[in-house]
Amino acid sequence: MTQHEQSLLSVRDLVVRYPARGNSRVPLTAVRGVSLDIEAGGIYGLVGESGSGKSSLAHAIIQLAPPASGQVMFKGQNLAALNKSQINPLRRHIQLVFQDSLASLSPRRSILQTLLEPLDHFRIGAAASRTDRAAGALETVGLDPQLRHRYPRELSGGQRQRVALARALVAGPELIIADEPLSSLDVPVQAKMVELILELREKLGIAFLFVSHDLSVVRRLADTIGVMYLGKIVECTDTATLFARPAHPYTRSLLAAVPVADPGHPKPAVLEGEPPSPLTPPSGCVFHMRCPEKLELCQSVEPGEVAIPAHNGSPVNNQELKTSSHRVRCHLWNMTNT
Amino acid sequence: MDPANRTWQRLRKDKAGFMGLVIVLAFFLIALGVWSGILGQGWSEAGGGRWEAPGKAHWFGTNLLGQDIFQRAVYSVRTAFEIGFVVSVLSTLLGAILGALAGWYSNTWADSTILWIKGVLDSIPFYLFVAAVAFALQGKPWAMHLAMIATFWTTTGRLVRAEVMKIKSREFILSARTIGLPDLLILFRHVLPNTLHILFIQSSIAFVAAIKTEVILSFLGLGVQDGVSWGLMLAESTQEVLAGHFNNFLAASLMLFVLLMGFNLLSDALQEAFDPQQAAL
Amino acid sequence: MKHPVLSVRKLSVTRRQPDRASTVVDSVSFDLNQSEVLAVVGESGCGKTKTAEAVMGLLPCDTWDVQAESIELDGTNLAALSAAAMRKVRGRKISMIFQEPLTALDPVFTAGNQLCSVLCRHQGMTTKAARTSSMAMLERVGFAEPDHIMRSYPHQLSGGMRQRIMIAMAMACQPRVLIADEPTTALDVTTQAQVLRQLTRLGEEYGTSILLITHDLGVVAQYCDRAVVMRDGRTVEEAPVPKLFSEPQHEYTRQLLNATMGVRSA
Repeated sequence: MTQHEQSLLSVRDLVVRYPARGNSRVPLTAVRGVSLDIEAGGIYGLVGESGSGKSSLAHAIIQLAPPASGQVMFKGQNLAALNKSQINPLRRHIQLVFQDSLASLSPRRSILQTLLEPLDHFRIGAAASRTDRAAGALETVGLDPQLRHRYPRELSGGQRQRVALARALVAGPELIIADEPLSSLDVPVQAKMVELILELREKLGIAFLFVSHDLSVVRRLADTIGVMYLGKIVECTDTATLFARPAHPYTRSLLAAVPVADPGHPKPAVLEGEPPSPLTPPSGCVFHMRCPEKLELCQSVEPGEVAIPAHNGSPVNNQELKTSSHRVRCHLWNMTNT
Repeated sequence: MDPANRTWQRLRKDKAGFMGLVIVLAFFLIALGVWSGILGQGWSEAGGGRWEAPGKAHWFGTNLLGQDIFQRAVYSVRTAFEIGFVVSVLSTLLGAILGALAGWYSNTWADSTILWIKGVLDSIPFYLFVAAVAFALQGKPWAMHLAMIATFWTTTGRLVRAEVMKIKSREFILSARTIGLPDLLILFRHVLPNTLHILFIQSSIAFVAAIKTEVILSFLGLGVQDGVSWGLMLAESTQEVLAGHFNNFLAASLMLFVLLMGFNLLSDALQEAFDPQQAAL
Repeated sequence: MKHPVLSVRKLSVTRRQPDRASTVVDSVSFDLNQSEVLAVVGESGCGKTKTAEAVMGLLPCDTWDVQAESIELDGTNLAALSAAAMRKVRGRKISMIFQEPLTALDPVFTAGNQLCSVLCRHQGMTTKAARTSSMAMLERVGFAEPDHIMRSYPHQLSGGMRQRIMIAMAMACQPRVLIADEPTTALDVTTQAQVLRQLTRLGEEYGTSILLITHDLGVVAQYCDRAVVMRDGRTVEEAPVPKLFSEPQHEYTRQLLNATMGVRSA
């Protein structure tokens, strides 16, 4: 694997905390030190369930809320260290697409108005040409440019999500963060959207951070996958390896829980216990309470990140961490402890 | 079909609401007539004898001073609309802006300040406050209007604040923020238009409340200074009724009743038509 | 041939509207057999939810027009029942759980309260007896600390927990039929596995037949015995699950199968 200085996006030890609210006295730490890298034109799939902090991570990267600590290096600049006026011009390079397309498009504004907004704000191109650009963006996502006069409520879910993508595209970004954009769509529509995203990557070289809980979608789309649990990335590797040789017990449980469209296949295995609340994180390894393979150590000591080289089982030490692409946060793989 | 068109379609189907609209429009046309000098111009002439019965010259008869009751009632339509419009538009606007700011910057000093002002204004008994302001500014033609605006805005402000607090965490607002749009722009372009349903209801309530308040103020002698209003007519008529002459009273209260009824029907229908929850069925 | 528990014949649901009436369910017929899990599969808008709501008698008659040759539950024609009679049947003989756990439970009452009220109403239990039964039910749906759950309000519980409480409420009276409308669509995949396991286990234990509405073919394959495919308000194919996957007869079924992206299958 290449060195990561050339990465488009490089997140290091990001921590996201929300202040104590309502009955809880404790601030909610949604993201507890996450690092990831996305190359230009790469698609990174961030997988996790509710409470994993994946949406908080996405929002923190785009600086919707400032992270508590850590770095977000985008094209060499640390977004977390910039103030509002310094970040604003950079915003045209990173855009966000949400899950609920009906809620993410302003209900009382036409599609055209919605598409023109980033163009006008960033002053892209001559004012007269912006309507054409907007129409062009609609075509790029496979929609009839005539739809620009309609309102969000008049479109189907799939069409709206394409509009949301068009709005993200129209400013010419290099990275699009998509937070569960396909979850509310029917399966056949999802398949078409996956094709569209792959096409956009091919034609326009846009990188994607694709946040999802749906492993089958992520499998089709992502080059690299990071699995999140309770605010930490517990496993990260390229897609093929993740599905062929999942290393972390949580990843394995996740994969085993997905129902397969094959009646002959054994029933999904159930991961026992309740999903964790970020308000009361467990001690030691975040996953130990539900882990089918836990060791005594797991209860008290947090596992550090360990690299697993591609073809044999023995891990390497920390110095060579950067050169291996398969990383796991688990005592089972940390041989120095046995 | 854009939102405005859709609202109009829904309104048309509601018979009661449509009737309300017709009534309000009819009165509005009368008010325009008075403004442009066509109707109701003889409201202050003491043309007839005292307490004449309704007849050809004076359709509703005359009052104590021989003034034509019908002319006075018609002129009052203009007064009513004037008060209604000025107070409802300005108080709703004030409430919308302050409410939006309070809601957007909720739990900050801006919010606390605005809430405190609202609290103070609301603690003062309403008519007392309005009367006090009207009295203090007595003689100035806009005294009454100012007094009402200063008190009416708080309800709108509170409702808008609550709605803005809900809207600001919705995803289309987050989208606007990810583009980097400045807060105030987001507030006025994206947030406030989605509170229109509240604003319309509140302004129609304020319209009605303004007219009714004017009646009370007239009884206190703090109402319209130049011109005539139904409130003034009603105040005058208290004496006349004791003497057995009801025309003044009837004319004023009938017109008042019909207009307010029409307005209420219209605003009920508007509320349904504007409700963003109701997807096109 | 055994008599089916639920037999629907020519069910149609039309929306009443002043200028245009639209048919959302068009002459649908199917059978649900004893102790069987029947899947109703289709994309959104195909009418699967409205079919279920029509069977349950939940559609308000001012907006919806429900016509059926018969809807037979254990011999009783539900379509012919009065509203009062239908209320007695609902919850006791046939119950339903919905997709969105957030809004399915009343936020101002505790879970225990809601569960007990179902038992009191349909089985005439005293409060004390209902409490004991409720705790037992909660254990059956896999809660390790039923007492804590009884005292919790819906907003204090996760989506998966709320859904399991819904199942407990729906199964409390051991109904003959349980209709589950996309019960796990809003849940994480690990929670889904948990919930579906509880659901099918309870069904077996109580002899309840389950009508499972879903758009997820994986769920159909792994949890259901037979499946009915719906499209645009009509049934398109009906078959035992193994046959549906190995030899789909209708073009639309084939399309659906192709669009499913596999995770573990080759």
